Amino acid sequence: MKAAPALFGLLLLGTPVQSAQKTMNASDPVSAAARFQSPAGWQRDTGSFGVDHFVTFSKGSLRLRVQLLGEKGSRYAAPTAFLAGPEAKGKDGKPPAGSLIKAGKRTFRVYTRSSEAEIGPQGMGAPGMLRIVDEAFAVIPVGKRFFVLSLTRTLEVPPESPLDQAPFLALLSSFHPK
Amino acid sequence: MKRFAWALLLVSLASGAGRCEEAKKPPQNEPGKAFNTRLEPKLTKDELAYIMSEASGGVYRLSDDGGSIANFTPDSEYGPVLKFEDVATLIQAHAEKAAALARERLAEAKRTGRPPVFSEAEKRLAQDVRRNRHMFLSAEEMAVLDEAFGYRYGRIPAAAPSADFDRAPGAPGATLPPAAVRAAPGRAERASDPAPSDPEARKLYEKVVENVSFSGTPEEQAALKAMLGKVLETDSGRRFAADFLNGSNPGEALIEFEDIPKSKVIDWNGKKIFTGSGGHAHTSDTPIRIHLNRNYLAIDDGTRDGASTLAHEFLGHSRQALKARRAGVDGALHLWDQDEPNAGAVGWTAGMEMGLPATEGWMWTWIGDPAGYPAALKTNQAYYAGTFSLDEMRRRRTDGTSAVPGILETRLQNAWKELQQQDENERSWKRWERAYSFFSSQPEYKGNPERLEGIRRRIDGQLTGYIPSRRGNLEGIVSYLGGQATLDALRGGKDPDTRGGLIAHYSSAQGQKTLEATATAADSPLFRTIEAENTWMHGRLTKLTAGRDPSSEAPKPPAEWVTWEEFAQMVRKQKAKDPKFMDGP
Repeated sequence: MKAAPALFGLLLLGTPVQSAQKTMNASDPVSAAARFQSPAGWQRDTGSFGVDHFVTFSKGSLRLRVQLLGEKGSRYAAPTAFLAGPEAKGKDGKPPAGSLIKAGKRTFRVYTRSSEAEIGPQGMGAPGMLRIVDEAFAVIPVGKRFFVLSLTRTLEVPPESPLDQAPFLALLSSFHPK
Repeated sequence: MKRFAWALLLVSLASGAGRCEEAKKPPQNEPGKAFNTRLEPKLTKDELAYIMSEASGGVYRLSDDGGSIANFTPDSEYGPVLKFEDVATLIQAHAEKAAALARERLAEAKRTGRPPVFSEAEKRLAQDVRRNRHMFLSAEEMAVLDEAFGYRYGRIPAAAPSADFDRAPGAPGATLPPAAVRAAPGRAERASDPAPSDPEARKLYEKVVENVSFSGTPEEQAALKAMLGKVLETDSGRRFAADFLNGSNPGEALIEFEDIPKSKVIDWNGKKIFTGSGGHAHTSDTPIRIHLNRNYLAIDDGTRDGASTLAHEFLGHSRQALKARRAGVDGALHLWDQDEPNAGAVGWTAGMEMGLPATEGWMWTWIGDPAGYPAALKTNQAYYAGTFSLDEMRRRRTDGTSAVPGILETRLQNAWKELQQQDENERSWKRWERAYSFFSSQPEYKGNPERLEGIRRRIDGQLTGYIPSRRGNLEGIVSYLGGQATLDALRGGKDPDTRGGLIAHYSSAQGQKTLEATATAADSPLFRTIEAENTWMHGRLTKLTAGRDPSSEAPKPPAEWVTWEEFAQMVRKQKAKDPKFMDGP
């Protein structure tokens, strides 16, 4: 862990709360490659891991994500590699089976998985937070690249109800590669 | 006094006022008025017994109807009725007494060398105080209770290998150097020859030792060099050490042990581990100071564990910080949200290659979702809440200024919502606790309570350990981002018009200047290189952990213990018969 920066020079004078000033919409590779509907009331964001770009929509413990993989230098060269890897496997360590589900007018193979980790502040051996993640995802190949669309629910308490996939199916039904 | 007043406020809030949005709130006692034992916060049996006893220092009696408590006087038998504040004073004294008992037993344990002994009643009392009356305790008192009862919720460590790491068994799937180049077991001179046996690795080790400085006693320096030797026995350690040496000058990094506050060595199922941070890298200093927790010298398998942390701090953070300095982008690296995952991956990769068990939760979290990992860090500790993706560094508002202040405002609001969510999490865990109480009173488990011990530890650990610490971290994030005044105002139900903290800093002219430089630095080739490294390490760790899972490498709980999955199944079946059985009063 890095030592926290010294912020002794910070101005303590108040600054007005940031209004919802619009940001300039820089194009992102995911939106350039596919059309999909932003769910109302969810926080939109963009990001990347190496050459793999993604768009996320977050609301409370839920996160929808559209991720573009398979570019040169991607962490997964093909859908088969993704499905055989740790980002698709569940607690049992096995590749997911998936089931066919209708979203809009099309049918998709939707996979589900769950994972649980006990984590604390990095490097610390103190009592840890439970991070319980339930996920539904679909893999959509487009040429040499592929999209992974997912809905994730992250909780710190064991859930008493299963993941409601409705927001995910709505995203799937709106998704069209360009 | 300040703690008491705050505790009073928290107790009244915790009783239901203001924290939940349910339509019905339990009726409550109010400051300034006579205390009614039937209203919230209700006294526990232990607290009532304490108040009625001589130990409380007063002579108190319950009224005939049991609804109030009064000072007993010989003249009236039933004197002035105690007010809310009076009872709160007694609750505080009772809570402090529990902490004092724990402190006394720990001191005795230290004197005698035997573990502290507590009766079941004392354990229950301490849990109850820690969970429900923590607002009356000082940080030191909470720490004493945690130390005395820490085994109840500590992380289950990996299976205990031999303290001599040369004889430690390799974990399944580990990449170990070929047997021919490994030291023969039992070589006593290992302590005086920490270098790897492999000739190429030894040459590299000697170059690194010439380049970096070590500080501390001769024994401490020998231990640090042994850890370095362990790192350089690994493929990835050698790769990153060679990269470190490329372009670095002697004396730019110094490695030493440090006493880290609140870190304690504890016994966990027969293995010594420590709580608290493993170390830090002070990357803004010259030379860069790499500090490892001195407790690595006191725990089992400390050399390998310490070696993994050394890889993280030295070949992760410090290596990249020196490269960034040379490239003129060290300020931006400090703010980049991939610096910590990179250092983490360096440490985990070296750790897996040297045969450490794969039990680190953060490692599995990163392997399972590296793209989402930075977001998880940002709601975990204040420092990470002030780091940004390259995309965020470049993002601008319509007026052309950096979008960072607005990004931080969103994070502040999210952290505040997560803080409020902790109340809901606590209520959820209490539902699981009621389920536990239900089953533990059933004949099958009443006669054999040990069977539900794993369930009890998990629930207790969350309620008394994690949730309070999580609240502290989230409060830290809110005040770091928006200033203490913002946190105080939000706690009081208001949202002030202004922000202090990091948001104020980045809204200032100086802060905007920093952000401009950071946005430019985001295009640095160094950052591309680090991204490619992260992708490579993700692939490497995927291979090293294939077929493994953390629970199979941790010590198995006793076979008779009910697992959480089994318990959840029991709860589902009972809920089908009685949907309200987890509901509270």
